[in-house]
Amino acid sequence: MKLLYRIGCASLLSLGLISSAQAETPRAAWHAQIGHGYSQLAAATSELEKTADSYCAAPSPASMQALKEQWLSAFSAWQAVRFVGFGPIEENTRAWKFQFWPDPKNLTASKVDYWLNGDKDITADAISRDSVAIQGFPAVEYLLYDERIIDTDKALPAERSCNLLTAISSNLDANANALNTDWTALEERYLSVEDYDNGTLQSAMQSLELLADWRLAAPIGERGNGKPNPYVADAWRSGQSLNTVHASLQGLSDYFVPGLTLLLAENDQMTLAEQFNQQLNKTLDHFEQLPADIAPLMETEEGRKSLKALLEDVNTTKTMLTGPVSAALSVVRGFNSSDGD
Amino acid sequence: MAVRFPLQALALAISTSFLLTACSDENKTAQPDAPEQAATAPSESAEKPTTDSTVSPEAVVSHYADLAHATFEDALITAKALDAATDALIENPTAENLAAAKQAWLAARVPYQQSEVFRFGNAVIDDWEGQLNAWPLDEGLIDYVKAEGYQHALGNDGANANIIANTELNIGGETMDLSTLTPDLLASLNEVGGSEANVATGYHAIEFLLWGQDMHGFAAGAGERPASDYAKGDDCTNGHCDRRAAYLDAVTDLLVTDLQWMVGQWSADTEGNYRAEFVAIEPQVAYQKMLFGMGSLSLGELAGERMKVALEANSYEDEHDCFSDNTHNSHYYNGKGIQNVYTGTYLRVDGTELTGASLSDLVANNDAQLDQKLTAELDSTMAALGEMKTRAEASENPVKFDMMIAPDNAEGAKVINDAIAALVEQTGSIEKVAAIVGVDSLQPDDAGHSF
Repeated sequence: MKLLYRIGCASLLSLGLISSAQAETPRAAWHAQIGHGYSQLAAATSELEKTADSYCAAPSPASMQALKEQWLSAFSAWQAVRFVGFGPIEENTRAWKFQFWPDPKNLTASKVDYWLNGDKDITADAISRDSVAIQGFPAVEYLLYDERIIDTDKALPAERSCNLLTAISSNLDANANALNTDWTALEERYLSVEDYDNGTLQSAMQSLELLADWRLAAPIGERGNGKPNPYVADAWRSGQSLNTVHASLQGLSDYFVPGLTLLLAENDQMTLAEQFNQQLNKTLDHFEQLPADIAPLMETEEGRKSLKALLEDVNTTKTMLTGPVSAALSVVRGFNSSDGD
Repeated sequence: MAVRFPLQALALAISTSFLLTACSDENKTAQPDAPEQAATAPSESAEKPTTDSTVSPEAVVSHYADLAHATFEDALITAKALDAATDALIENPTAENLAAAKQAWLAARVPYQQSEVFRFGNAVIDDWEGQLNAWPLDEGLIDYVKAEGYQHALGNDGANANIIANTELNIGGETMDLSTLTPDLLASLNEVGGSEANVATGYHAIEFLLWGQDMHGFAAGAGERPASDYAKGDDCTNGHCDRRAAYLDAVTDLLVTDLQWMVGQWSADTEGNYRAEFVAIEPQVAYQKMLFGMGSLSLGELAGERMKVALEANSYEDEHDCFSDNTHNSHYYNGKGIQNVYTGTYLRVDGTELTGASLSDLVANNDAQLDQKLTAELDSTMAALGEMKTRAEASENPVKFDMMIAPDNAEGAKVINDAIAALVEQTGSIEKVAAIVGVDSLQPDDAGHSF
């Protein structure tokens, strides 16, 4: 499906956008594509819930493998829509309920351990009322991968661990479905309120800034005091920290770029649209040569070089969006929640 | 300094405030009255309350510098009192002297927290403040901790270094001599080994040295360090009392000298200091700094980092004054600082009041309705933070911030969510003020403008 979107976007460009722009407004494109991303997420969490149930009903190396794969698939579906920071995702701290990040003090571990070591009934409802750190994909990842647990008697398929796994998965699915439904319900308002252009653009900008500065530069030591901090990266427990970055950039390409291209076309900025597309695709091309995780690359000079090269292209993409694209579309940037420390 | 990382979950941008929804969780709390955002006009008519006298931009800029100077001067005065009180504790480590030192610390927080609104826009402060107020910290760097319930930052090699118990520190392939604990040495240990959680100096290091670890989790009670941790000879508890005393002595001395430097930067009587540069810049650039400080502290820092994270993650590790349980006051006086800058007023620690030309005057001349709206919103925020303070300081069954953030404490969550909502709302008006006073972009101009 991702591939389809990529092709769709490319053909839109090559065929010339003017006729498409008349048929579809930028916000209509954004609403449809983000909606597509949300429905993919809901489908993936539903599958995760089923896979978790199957695993706990009949634990085996094969069903564990299926579970790990489905976890990654669902987490990647979340990464693809992570750039959307407005609308229903803002309600009830939903974003943190998919992924509490960053988590420097390993709250994920504290909260999972608390549930495993206690004797409270583990239900999806109880999980939905507790800390955001117990509710998200990282909590499932902790159960599946963390050394603190997989070599102990609490490792899956221990009863409480299985209960926790299925409860978290079920809650994740409920949240993804609610998000999807609420996004669909937002359609009329999203299409009619012009300021959503600005909101959508700002959201993409901020997510690209976070991706460049925190999800990539900080783990590889290209930010702050220069010490690599692998724990800022996503999915360090499962060794998927580059796959998640890839999924987020692909999500921007699939779900954000088509609407952006239409908007730039409306503003007679097709050259800029093409430049941005090319730059993003150039950035995505890096992943063909890269492994799933940052960690092994940090071991060698060559690996570190390839990470820096990726970062450079991510930064160029970021700067293009926050600079010329933003200026061409007169994006107004106000305070955002990352203006603190 | 960047202690934690940016948050996404709060409002992305207030300029698109119609996108906002109340951020609270229906599972945890009854929805507070949904704050009507941008669309709501204040009920008062737009009649101009001010005289027709115009406010000079220079006066507004210069009065802001006066406010900064007075606030930092008060921080210095109260830090000196804290230094004296800790000296007395070291000299004579009684329970009374420990209690007096704690009181002095609490008093010192009042002006300092009001000074934080001067951050964000003024790089001279942000480059400096980490040494004074960095947070959260891995306190095991400094002194003994109970392993159970001590959750340090992932990957921090210094998290259990225990400077007080050790005369040498091996970190990152480097060996450091810790035999003499001087202010300079302690300052050099901040972020040692590359971890921002390694905070060796400042208010929170002192707080830990006075209170100790809070082992009560979500329950009532703060840190319970005994005064005998500073006792001499055989009376010493938990070991190394002489080095603990030397640490406390050095770290309080450092606080005083750091604040002296900052007071000097804002003094009107010193040539070539930061103030001299500040009052010489274009008024619009100065307004940008004022408003950027107000907005950043309101939204990203206070509402986000300091309240929302702790609440939504139910994490007392993310409580601001976690050893002393003074978090409600830290939040309250942060809010007060924001109000001070807008209204141009500051109540000094000696009880005198500073007033003068303000952003509020400036806005009132251009858009009286907006001025009334923001003024009212700042009052609402102070009322919400006041509610938090009142509950935390109640003589019967006080509910401290770390109790409010407990899972299932719907009432506590509502108090915090109300404060967050009020801060989010005022940030929207701060953005509008920016447009009124001629500030094009609220983005920090970090390139080429670092003073």
